[in-house]
Amino acid sequence: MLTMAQSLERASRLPSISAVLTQALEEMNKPEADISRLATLLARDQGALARLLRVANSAFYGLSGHVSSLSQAVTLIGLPTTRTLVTAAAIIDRFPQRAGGAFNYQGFWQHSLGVAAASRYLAPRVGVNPETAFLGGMLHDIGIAVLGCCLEEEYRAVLDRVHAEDCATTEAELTVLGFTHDELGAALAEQWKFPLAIQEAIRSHHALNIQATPLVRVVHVANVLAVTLDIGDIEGSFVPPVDPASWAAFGFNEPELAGVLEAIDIQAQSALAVLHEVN
Amino acid sequence: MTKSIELDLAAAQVGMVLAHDVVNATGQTLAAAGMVVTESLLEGLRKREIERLTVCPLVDASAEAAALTERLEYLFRKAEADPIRATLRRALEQYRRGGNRAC
Repeated sequence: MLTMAQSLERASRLPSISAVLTQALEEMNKPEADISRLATLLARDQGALARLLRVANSAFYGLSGHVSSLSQAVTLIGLPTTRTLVTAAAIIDRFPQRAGGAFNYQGFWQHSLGVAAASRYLAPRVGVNPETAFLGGMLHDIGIAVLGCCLEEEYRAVLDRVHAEDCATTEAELTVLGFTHDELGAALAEQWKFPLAIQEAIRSHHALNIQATPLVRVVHVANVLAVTLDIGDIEGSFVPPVDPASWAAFGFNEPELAGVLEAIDIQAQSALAVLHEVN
Repeated sequence: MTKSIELDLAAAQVGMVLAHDVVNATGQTLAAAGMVVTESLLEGLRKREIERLTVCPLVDASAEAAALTERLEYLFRKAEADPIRATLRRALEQYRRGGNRAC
């Protein structure tokens, strides 16, 4: 089996994200809205634009089939969300989809988008920027995507272990690989120059400590809610333990919880349109 | 579990239930969620050049309830006596079995 450094080296064979994504991220960090820059960016990534329009045309926004340009999409869903969705599409497109492998590509990205939507919903409750939260959720399991897309043999061995033991993925990874997808994902996020807060959310979304940042808490609880809602499919998944301090931070009361789940489910279904076939 | 299905108008069949409102380009509602699709509704939507619909899946309610219970047992198989996950499970059942949605 490969070491984590060797695994990361494999990930570096993925198509470069630097061009589109780095710029999209820079744009995202600017306070002022700049649609023309985004348009220039998207002219170089037609796949991302097509995916964005799928979302704008999803039932969630109620204008099925009538959004055909970037400016219309921005008017409808707002610039911050537009930028985030473009980034999400650009990330997904960096990972090749192979037929016949052990990795459930669609199921994986559905789960990631579900956690992203849940993170965006939860973020304002603890003072986190919703779009940063969306990206944190989108990327939280990026280490699994690296295993699934770049390290077929290792990924298959982890899956076998998950099935044999009915254990958590991270537990199987530690036994089989000696490192977890959290660590691998955080290392990749560092290499891809994602903000430190996002690297931390990837690294710590399973193992929280008392100093966990609000973003870590958001992604941790969002992951629990997305699995509860059965959005996407990670092999052998189960609703994981919830960190009580993080849960308490959101101040849910039981009567409102069904409504929270419904709201997240609706937003997630809209975000899933990013994954639809782009013709 | 109920998940609505988006399909081309040409694929819509009489008897299906609309999962979302059908709106035209100006945002006007042509048909409300919960409405049963009829031949005359399809005709009207064709005339108004509506291309896509979202409908509820055609399912047997008791089989669906059983499938939901089975899936919940699986997803919550490690929750044991955890009070937070017990709360979540109750909320999820309330949401899934809730009657205030078209499907």
